[in-house]
Amino acid sequence: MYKLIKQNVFLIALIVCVVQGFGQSLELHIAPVFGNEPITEDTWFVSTNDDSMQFESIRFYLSDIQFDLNNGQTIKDALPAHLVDVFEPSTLKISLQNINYKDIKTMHFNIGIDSTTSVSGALSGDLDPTKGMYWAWQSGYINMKIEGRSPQCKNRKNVFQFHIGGYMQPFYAMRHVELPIKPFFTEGVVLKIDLSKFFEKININTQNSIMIPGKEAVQLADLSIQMFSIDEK
Amino acid sequence: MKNKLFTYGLMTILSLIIFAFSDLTTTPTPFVIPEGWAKSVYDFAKNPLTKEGFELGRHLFYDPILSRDNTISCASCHLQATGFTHVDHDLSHGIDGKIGTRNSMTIMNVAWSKNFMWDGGVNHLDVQPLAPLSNAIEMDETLDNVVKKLNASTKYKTLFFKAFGDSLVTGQKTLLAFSQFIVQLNSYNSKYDKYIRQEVGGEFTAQEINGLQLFRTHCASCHTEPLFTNNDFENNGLPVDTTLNDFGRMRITHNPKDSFKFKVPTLRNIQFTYPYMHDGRFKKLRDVINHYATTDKLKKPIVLTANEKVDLVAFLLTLTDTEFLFDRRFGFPRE
Repeated sequence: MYKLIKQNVFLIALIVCVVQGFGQSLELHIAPVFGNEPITEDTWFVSTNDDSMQFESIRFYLSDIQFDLNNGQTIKDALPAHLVDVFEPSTLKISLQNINYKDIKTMHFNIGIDSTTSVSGALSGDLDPTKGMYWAWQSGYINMKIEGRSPQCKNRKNVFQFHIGGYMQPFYAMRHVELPIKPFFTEGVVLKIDLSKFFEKININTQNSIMIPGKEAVQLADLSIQMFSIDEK
Repeated sequence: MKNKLFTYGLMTILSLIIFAFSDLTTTPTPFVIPEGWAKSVYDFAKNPLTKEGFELGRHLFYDPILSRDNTISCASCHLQATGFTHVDHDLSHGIDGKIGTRNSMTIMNVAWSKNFMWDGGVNHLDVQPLAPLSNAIEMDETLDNVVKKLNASTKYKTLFFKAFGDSLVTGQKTLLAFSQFIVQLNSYNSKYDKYIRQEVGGEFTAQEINGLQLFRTHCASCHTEPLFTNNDFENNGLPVDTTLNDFGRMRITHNPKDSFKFKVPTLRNIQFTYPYMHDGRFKKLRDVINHYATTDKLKKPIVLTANEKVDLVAFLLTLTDTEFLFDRRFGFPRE
């Protein structure tokens, strides 16, 4: 009996190795947090500026995901873009085929959609304009939406609404992110997005509604890079 | 006897299958580029034109299902007989009788247009319908909800199946179908076109010939033939309407150099597209010409005698294309 289990354990281990070795599929987990707390609906968070806030919608595009491997090769994601919705768990896990995490040196991606895609007309999948991430009177994708409320927002209904986008210079709002990945991850790669980093630099008392491309959107786009890191626990 | 019945039955089923599959095929309709015109800006490789796609787009264009309360269709502001624009109103009106801030634009020869709207804020024909669709004073709807409404309609499920071989309605397919129709609203059979092509019906009078010469001297740098637009943005010297404070192109680029610049509209079918200018401030063509002849804001002043003004108007009337304005293929789909 003991022998049988031992044999089976060996067999299971072998299968796992084979699957990992040949299947070569990488799971990218997106972990939305506010400091040390995971982000959930109807939870109040307090920023380092002592602003308390609740989130209603956090959505953003991760596009052109690429991995530099130790052997000098670069592997690209098959899909041009993924729409991540923090309150939609199915969007927080991205499976990337043909990538073995053991070989990865660096991960690259863009926050938002590039200018070529932005002038390419009607697209499908996550880029379909029905997804609510496309502007109407001024074409282009909304790269990132962060909406919620805070008593510190001195406006009607005490809300903040950040729609960050813009594909035309000098207000190009897509941002490139490059993150080194340490070897020997066991359960895929965890990409942390920490909203507290974003609200560290914002005075939501006055800066609470950015909905068009422009200088302010560009500043927020620069700020948005700070939120992303690889969770190495 | 039984055998015969079986054979007939089999044949019926077979022919039904063949019929079903014949229904799956779409009829390609190659895009016509009129003689002497440039290549279109619109990329037909990404949205190959078909008869079925065109018909779907036509149904969508004339259907108020696009608006929040099912009252406003594209045709509410874009009527065929007037060059697909909204006449009589300086500022176009939309849902709940609300009034907008600009005069609706014409829809003609848009395959040659790089951008859309008076301020050029829309960068591709496919995404143009999103602007009126989601504008709170036009249709006040979302594409997402329109797709839901279309998916609930047997008529549209059938039309989408015919056009795309798949009855599932998506935002992309809806927008591509719009483009299929809109891109074929092309006017190139006016008296002027026949004059240029030296065809019957294109015989210009001396007055019209003089008008054309005046036009080429004074107007053609912006209203460039054969589209009668340079597809650019210009400040034509209109004093700002302080009730609207519309800065035009600057709203999009945030560049002070673009202040009061608006897209140069085509002049085709101008006889019927009144009132004129982005805010519809001029009712008559002679008001327009008087503006240009008196403004001191142009790089090169336009000096015209009273007779020359009349000749210029006579030429502008040769841009009327009745074949286009009354082409049944572009009208309300009666079925």
